[in-house]
Amino acid sequence: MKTRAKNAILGRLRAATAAGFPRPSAPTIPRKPGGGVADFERFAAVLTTLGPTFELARTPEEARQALAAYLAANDVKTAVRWDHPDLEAVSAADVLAEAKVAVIAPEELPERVCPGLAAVDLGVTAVAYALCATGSLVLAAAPGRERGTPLVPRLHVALVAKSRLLLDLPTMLERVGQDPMPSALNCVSGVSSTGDIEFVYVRGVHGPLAVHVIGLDWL
Amino acid sequence: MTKTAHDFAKASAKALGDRQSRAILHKAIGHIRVLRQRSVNAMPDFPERQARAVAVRDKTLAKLPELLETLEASVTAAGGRVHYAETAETAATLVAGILSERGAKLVVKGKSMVSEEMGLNEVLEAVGIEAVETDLGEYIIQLAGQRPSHILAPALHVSKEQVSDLFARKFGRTSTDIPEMTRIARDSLRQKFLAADAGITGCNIAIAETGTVTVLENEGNIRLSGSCPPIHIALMTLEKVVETLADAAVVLDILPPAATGQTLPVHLSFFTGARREGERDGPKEMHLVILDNGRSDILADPKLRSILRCIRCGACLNVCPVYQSVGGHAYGTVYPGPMGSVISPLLNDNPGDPRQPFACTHCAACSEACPAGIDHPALLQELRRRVSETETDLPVAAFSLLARHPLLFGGAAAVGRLLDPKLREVAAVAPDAPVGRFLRCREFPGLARPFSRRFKALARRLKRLQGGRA
Amino acid sequence: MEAFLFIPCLVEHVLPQVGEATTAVLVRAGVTPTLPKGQTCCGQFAYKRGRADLVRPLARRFVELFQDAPAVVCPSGSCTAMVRRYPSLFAEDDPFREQAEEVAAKTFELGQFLVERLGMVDLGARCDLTAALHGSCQTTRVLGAGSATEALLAKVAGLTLVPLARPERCCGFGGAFSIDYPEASEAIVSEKIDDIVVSGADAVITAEPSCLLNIASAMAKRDLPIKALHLAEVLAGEGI
Repeated sequence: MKTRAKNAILGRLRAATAAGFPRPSAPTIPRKPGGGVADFERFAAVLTTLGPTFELARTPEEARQALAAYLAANDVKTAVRWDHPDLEAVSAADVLAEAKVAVIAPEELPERVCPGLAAVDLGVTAVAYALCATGSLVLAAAPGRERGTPLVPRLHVALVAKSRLLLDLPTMLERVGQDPMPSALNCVSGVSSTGDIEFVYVRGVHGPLAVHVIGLDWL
Repeated sequence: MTKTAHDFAKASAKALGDRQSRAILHKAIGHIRVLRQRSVNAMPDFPERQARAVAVRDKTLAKLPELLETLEASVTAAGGRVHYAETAETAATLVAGILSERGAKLVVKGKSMVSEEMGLNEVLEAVGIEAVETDLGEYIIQLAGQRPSHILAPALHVSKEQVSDLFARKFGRTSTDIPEMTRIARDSLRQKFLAADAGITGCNIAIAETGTVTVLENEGNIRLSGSCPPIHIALMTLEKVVETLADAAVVLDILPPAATGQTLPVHLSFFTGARREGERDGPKEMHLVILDNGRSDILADPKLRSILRCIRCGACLNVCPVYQSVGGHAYGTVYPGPMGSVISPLLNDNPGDPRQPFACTHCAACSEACPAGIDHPALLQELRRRVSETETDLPVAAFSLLARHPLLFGGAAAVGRLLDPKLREVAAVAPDAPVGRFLRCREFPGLARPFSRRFKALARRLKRLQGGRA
Repeated sequence: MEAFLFIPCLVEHVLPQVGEATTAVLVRAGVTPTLPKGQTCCGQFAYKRGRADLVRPLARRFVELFQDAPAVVCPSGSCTAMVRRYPSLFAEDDPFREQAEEVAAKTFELGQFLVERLGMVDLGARCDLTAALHGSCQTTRVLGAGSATEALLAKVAGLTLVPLARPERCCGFGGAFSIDYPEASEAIVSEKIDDIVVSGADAVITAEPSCLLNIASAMAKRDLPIKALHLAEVLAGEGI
């Protein structure tokens, strides 16, 4: 029965697009990436208008201090983190341990991840890319990089290495097209928001209520 | 089965009587209009973006069967499954079947117009599955037992006081502060996300070469629906596919600015298949349901197929004077406004009022706003032609016949002049007669001595004046 | 130069003053207007009802009446747009289509004729008013003659133009729409009038007789002391 629906639909579409169907009105021209340079100044300028906060670390030590200060300032007791070389570059696991934060490592996650993260304060991730034109964090799911980590806890800290800055979305899509797509690629621009009640803009509907980005200037 | 057709004239008159909803709609639409204008103004290359998008949409339609086959192969390769459905009803049954077989009891849903088209919530409820809408606007609508009034902002017509009362009834906890009400909804929905057996989302763009379902949103509820539950079911209508990631980039270039005035929404998610080997979250099963529901016939219709370029941005609704005044419910269909007036009569079920294409002031604001280059006025004109073939339009036929004979036409006008004062009386005693309807809110200036009888004397006088000046 | 006047039925029988002002403006522009006899309706009413079949005989009449004109000038954007649409009503291989194309190509809305055809924007008109422009949908979006209207008004001495909050918005007439959907039509025209009132204008100007009739008669019902004027009336000034 299922193949019957498929065959009937595709059959009608083939008949509809057979001889006599006008050729497209114009050739398709790919969207060219926008101009300008991809740097932290531009990225942070857009990012911070969208809700997240930003600070730039020039050295691994500065990054560790930035993370430690964030943990203290936001009363972080529990956290979950990705398995990612950019986290290792700042020894994020050590910073969390030193701050006495109870960390759920990827391998310790329960069978159903999201409910297991509901009471966790913070998710720490890196990014696949960050987009300067739109202040976007591009998060790619992979083993050890759970979708729930930057999504379910009340806070999200993203470490953005300088080498991961790209100009804009078309550049990013061109880049990701060179490898198989991850199971989930999330391009997040700002903090969850809504205007569904009388068009009044409210931040923090779902997902983390606050996002903090630490730029890794040397990486 | 014969159903009484929806009557837009009656429904819109009723909607117009609801002053509160109208005022809210008005304010909200004014807001969207400003946002969109600001965003498009900030994009000097918007016309080029638009031209690129039209070309991509047209290429897609020309290659549709091929792209759907590629899409299916890619989704399958990424661990997902593709299902086709001919009608809204079979699609809903199919989804209910997938969920029932797996013993699902609770489903979280991201906002999807296709789901509305399928009447999915009722079908799921009938088989004992709780389906929770998780878009805040859609959630409010669901709690209130209503239908969306806008394809993007479903609760556009509801006031914060109404939401407040609703929350008090449903949660025993409320506020009149909008951020606080949003927090109440967040808390309630969070439990659902975490406990759900499956997530159902729509699909803004399906990318054939990669098998990717692309969804856009600001709230994050779709991202949660596609990430947390062990099953993800994505719903799409068959024209939502594009060939490549580059083509998707072209559509993404115009969709958020046209829809909400954003460059990008907060959450732009690309879901490709099910979770991979070694991943601990993400759906173990991913299904993509592709719905036809009359669209393959639209593609075969050379005069109307361009409506399939539509990317559901809602821009045509936001500029339509009729939609702005009467709101979405008056249409009685899933898709309201200009795009809805074109596509609803062509879908297999719930076609709405057969005379919907006439409920248009011909102002062409829709086609001007459309980022996908759809000429709604031309499509509505074609639909009107088709409807008019099936009926006798006596006043138009009589008027047109008179217009073929200047003497009769002039004579009729002379009779009209004689009757003029009486016409007003007719309007007073018979407010439902055409004259009465027109004069409801208007003071008619009356028929005058025709211009053609004044012309000769006027021309002579003007010539004299001009001669005198020279 | 000579031009044939194409007078819409609404102007002929309800708004003759618009025809008079059009004549005066053309004379002032150095054009000799001719009024071909036997004009009735361009068929727009039937067209918008989906009845192109009823329009074709009217299109044939129109083309016969105007085929010898050096130019055709009409004080209505929507009727001009209808004539420009005539060729599309006939099959590609219909010999009449070419004739219709010739006439369509030389038919202009008044403002369009002055600006695009004659290259005139300053007619030396004077009109001491604070006014809002209602750029009719048919004149602006459908015919594309909105900039001509604006250019002409910009040169009128004494005229102060004030902006409307939503200048692009329809007035809600839409021909038969106003009869078929009176409540919606009323709601839309009321908002248009609200915008006009808020703008502080003493008058509203438009290049479209049907919008003019709609807005004027709805303002009259509300007893508003705001004038509704056709572009031609503004350009004619005290000329008649």
